[in-house]
Amino acid sequence: MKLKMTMLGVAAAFLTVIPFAAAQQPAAPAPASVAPKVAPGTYPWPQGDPTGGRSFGGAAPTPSNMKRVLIWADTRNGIAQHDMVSHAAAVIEEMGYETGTYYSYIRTDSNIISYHPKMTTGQPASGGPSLANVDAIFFLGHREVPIDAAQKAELLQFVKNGGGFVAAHMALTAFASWPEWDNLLGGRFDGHPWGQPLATVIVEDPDFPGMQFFPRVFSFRDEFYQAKDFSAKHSRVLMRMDPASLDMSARGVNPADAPYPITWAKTYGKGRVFYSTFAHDAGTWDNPAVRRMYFGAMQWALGLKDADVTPRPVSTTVPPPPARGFGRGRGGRGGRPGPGRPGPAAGR
Amino acid sequence: MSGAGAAAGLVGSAAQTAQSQNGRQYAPGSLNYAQMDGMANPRRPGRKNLLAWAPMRNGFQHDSVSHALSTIEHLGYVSQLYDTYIHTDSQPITKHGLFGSDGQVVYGPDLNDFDAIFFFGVREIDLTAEQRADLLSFIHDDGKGFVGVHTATTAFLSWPEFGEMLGGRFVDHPWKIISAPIIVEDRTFPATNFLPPVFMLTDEMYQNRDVDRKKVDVVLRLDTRHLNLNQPDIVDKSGDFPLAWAKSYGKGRVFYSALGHDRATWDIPDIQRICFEAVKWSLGLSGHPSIAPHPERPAASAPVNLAGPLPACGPAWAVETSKGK
Repeated sequence: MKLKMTMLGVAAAFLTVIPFAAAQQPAAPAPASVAPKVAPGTYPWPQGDPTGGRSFGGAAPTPSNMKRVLIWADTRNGIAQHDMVSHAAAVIEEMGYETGTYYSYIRTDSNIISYHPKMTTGQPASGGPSLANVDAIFFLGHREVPIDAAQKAELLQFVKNGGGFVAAHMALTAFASWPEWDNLLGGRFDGHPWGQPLATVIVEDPDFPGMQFFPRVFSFRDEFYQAKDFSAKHSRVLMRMDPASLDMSARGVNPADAPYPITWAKTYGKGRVFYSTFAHDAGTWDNPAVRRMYFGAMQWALGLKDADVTPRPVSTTVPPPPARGFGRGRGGRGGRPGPGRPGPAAGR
Repeated sequence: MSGAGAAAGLVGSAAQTAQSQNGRQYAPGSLNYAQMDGMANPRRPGRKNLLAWAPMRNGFQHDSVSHALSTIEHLGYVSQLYDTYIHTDSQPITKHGLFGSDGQVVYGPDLNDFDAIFFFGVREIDLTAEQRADLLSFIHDDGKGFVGVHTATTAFLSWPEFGEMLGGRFVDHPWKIISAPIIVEDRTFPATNFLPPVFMLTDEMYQNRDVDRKKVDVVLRLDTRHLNLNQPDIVDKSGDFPLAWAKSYGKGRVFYSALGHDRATWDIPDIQRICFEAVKWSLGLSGHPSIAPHPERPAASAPVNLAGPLPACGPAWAVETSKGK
């Protein structure tokens, strides 16, 4: 019971502190430590309470209007698999489930990218997701995702008909050989010439759902992708990098890719499409602002929140940066067990 | 525990906002919110690698699978015991290199890198003969772990060696979803030693055949005394319905639990813990190297209800996000 209360308290601390601290007062002093101390190799299991005669299990009472999301992370092709994929998928699942907003179906195969998925025998698939029964796709695939022409057509149809499509990080590298992907996603991967820089990020549209958890300007370290074939005439820029914070002489930097957008929203037919370059590392998916950004994007893509994504020119002035790096000093590092995701394959 | 101390004063407000919904044990503060500049991702050479493998194209695709995968990932991530690689494809089931459908080399983990497999596959799964051999030798010869749940016994019914490895085969769920007592037959095994002698659970109780009590340690059994054993679809009229067992396979450690048909079942801390501890045991991290097969053991006491899920922090998200717009 004590543990339960402690964890609730921890939740409360975040409720109280994070939205304002992150959005309005990036330099405000933060609680020294907010994460419960969990010894490595253990998990803080709750101690059971008597349950008043209830037997647990079976279907839980859940909001009847929960949406359905396909988390599609086919990374079977294309050299380097990212270590963060499974954690990112779990984070997206977790946020939807625990808020009662959406159920997720995690798939790393692409069989379900169809209105009529089939078994290998050719018979109709039994249960599970399909383009006919999900409301949005969260896409974390990369490079040449092995789907055939009919599946590509159905995927486009899904979004055109109003399906949501939220894509993250290496999604920008996907389907390089498929021209229409440009029009769906709004940009193409043009390398990450800066590696993993500490870049200044400018929030262009603080009104978009989820953006309010970031300061207008903040420093952030990530593997920021450079996007080509992007047009601010077709997409609303939500975040861009400040070139002044980057080494513009780095090999691979393409001046034609200005204004270096890293997060944008657009429509495709009736569908809502969102892309953000966050986040290369598993640990960054624990960043509350990053999580809330994607949760906001999911809410928008699912039609639960509205936003004006009419394309418009990006700002010409850069607001002054905050006095301190975004979130620096908030608990430092090591406030949480499990800071990273080592793996046999290094993240790239 | 400065965090706990600082948090204590806020318990009241949390209680008002957090509602018990479909909650899994979870608190935002239990994960890392400190790294606002990202990238803090030190490699931990000691951490284990778990393949969470759930190929389900050819069977009934349970709604619970993705939530189970996410839960297993969460437990390993928070405990720092293992890193999870979720796959519903079977590409990593190989020791002979990863190749994409275009024939190109793919850099990613395969059976040479994993320490155990958490398996939620169903029915017939497309694997080449080489992949099948690699999978069995991963457990048998390399001494790695294999933890199968629920539909695992429906998998590869046409492949006898898989059934031998797993220790049982699915034959229907005669009573569908029922609320019934489950007898904890082995209260020393790491994955069941925290459970009461008998507990109540609502689930789709599986009937598994070919469970050889001379070879496997049955740790959970359905209490069938109050169930109709005269139904025609019941294979073993004696009423012995093993629901979870541990066994060895060559040098490897194998565990199976039938529990977890519904999403919400995965929110019950004790059910999560059975799987977490089973994974830990299969990784060789909790000792208990020898299996103790035993005959059917009687129920010793009245069933106890498990603790329910903690209130979700979910509504808090909704509150927060509605502030902005």
